[in-house]
Amino acid sequence: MRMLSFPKRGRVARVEEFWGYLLISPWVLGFILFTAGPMLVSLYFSFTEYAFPLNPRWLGLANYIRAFARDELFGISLWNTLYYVGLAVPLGIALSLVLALLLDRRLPGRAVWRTIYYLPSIVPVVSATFLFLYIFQPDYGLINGWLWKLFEVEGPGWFNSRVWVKPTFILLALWSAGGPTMIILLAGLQNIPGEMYDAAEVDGAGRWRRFQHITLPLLSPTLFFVLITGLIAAFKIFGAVYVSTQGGPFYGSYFYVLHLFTQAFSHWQLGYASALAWILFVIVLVFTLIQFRFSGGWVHYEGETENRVD
Amino acid sequence: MHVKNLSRRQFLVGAIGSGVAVALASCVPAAPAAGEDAAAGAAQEVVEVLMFDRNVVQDLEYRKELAERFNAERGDIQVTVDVIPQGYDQTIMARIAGGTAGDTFRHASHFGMSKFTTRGLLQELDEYVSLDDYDLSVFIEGPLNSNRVNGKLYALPVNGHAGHAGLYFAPEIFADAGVDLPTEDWTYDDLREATAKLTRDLDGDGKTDSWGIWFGAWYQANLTLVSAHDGWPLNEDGTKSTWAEPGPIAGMQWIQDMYHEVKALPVMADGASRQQLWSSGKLATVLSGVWEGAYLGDITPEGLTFSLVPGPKGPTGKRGGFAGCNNFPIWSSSEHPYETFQWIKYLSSREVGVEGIGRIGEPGLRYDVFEDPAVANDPLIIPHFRVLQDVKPFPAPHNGRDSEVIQATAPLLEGIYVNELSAEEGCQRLQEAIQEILDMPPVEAA
Repeated sequence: MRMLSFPKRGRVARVEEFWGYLLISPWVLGFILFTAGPMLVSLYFSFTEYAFPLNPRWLGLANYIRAFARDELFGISLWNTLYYVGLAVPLGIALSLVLALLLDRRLPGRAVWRTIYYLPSIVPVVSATFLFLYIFQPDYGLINGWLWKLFEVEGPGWFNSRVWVKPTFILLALWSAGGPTMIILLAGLQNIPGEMYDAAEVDGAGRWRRFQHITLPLLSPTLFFVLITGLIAAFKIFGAVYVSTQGGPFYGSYFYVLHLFTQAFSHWQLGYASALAWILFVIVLVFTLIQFRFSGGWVHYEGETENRVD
Repeated sequence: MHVKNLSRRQFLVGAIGSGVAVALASCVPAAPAAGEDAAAGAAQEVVEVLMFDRNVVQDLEYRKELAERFNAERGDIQVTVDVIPQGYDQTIMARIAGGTAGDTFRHASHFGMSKFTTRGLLQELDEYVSLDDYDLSVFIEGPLNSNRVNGKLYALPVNGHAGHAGLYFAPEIFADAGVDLPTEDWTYDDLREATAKLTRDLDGDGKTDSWGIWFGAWYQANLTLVSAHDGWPLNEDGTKSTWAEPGPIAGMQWIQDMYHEVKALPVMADGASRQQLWSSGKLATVLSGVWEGAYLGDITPEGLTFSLVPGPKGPTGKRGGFAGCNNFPIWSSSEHPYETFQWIKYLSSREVGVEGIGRIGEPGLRYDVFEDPAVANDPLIIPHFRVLQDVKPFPAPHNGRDSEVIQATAPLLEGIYVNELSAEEGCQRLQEAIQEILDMPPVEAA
């Protein structure tokens, strides 16, 4: 029998290894202390009644059962969040893609346009939300004022309507569609070789066919990336809601993380809030895994060919 | 030299173990620093009291100044006023957990006292009141009682208000609309009728651009309407929800009508709307609290002035509101509760109560404050005082679940504001939702 043998590491390699660990340790320790550690501790808390600042008391699965069986607001907040995620993410990506395609063209003053479209995304969410509150104020806001002046149409209640409040938050999200997502898509577009378009043009492909058969397939890894990150970010919607509607009116914008925050920092029920956090983690994980499962059908990576023949 | 290799797995296991240990250790309350006791013994003559306040500039400056005066008067007690710059509620709870919350902190009775008392976090004061033979009858009853939970006193009223108990109005707008000025005898029917006339389309584009009234679209503000209609959300001992009784329904009906029938104010108009409308001269009245006087003084546009009458009377002649007060409860973990009580008494004194009107916009809550010549004729203070004598403390659930009650109330009130629920249906749902919370066990005491 032939024994496998590995070369012994020399002193230099060991010293290098030591320095490697030493140099990455600030990040690793930071991650473990401030992310992984608290996550694990919150997993423990999720099985307890933890009426902060009293000591936690073991409850077993009771918090999880409460969420699914007895907490009406859990269902409401989850539905509101899924509604938001389901619309804000695809619309946001679509709008970002349109902007990226426009700004990828050879326009005069292209850098200026790119900067202008990027600007909304660097406005702090609180400022942007307050701006929207004023613009979308139903009785004397700018939007309804225009609707009345131009078309004599009574505008909706926007933030003050249970029906319209979620679409209004989606509009707020779309307002900053020219931000990082657009930049990432723009970078993706610029990585597509120009010769492919030239060749397709020679073959008589029109704009739509070029977009359909070259742009979209070659951009699909980038689209997949922004879809996953957008999904995760959308599930966590909180800041804009917290400073404006606080979940209202009548639970119309009561999103999941607001429910979690309320349990944790208004009611000081940290055990239940931890359980809600872990449920959200699992939900996001499931959505992400589903995306990965189905990505094979539409995401095409460079160098990958179908029916490979070696 | 023998060098033991550290594998990636060993490194990660070790690091995760240390991380979890440190995270768990951070949940344990901090122990006093070594030598603290010895130091305290050595300096027994001077007791240091630490108080936390909110980051409200004028309040903070004033209280720091008061601490300096108190420290000069009392050589044996030295008070330090510290500030929590932001995230006040979260920070104060984190400090309690960490054992660094000092001796006392700024609170307000209408933010809920029982959430602290049921957790055993506050010092009862009755013992010190007896010890000092301190006369509690100087305080107005409602505000004083808002500092009691289950009959036990946990704070003294420092400064405060009667809720949204005053009707501020711009006389020039009334004159322009040909409406008689409000009087002390106005009822809510009078107010409704007047505000209907004061709500106008001034530029003739078919859309209202000048409104008759603003009142707050939230629980505390609505207590004025509910109580003026002889209603109250909870029974006396906070064990039963009473939302479905005729009083609360009538109060909420009035609010809903003002939004949707009279249309005298924008639906759910918030504080920013009040500011925008008043400062542009498009708002005739504001139903609000004693704090509003100073604020309106700053934003009233040129050509307009404002006056104040007590809030209108309900069907049985009752004016609405609730006794709300800022207070400084003492933590049960304080090492110097009695000395801290001396400082709290100073904050609740007549002198501070009178001076506070000019400094922070709210009076002290003692009868003798309102007898002071500087206050007795103040047209922006006295109307509130007249309501303050009749109002109840902020409703407190018996089981310490204040925030849960407030949180559950707000969305259902919004359902009424936006006409998704009739006033009756909304109050019925409030009845059930709040009762469910009141039936929950109290938060376990420490």
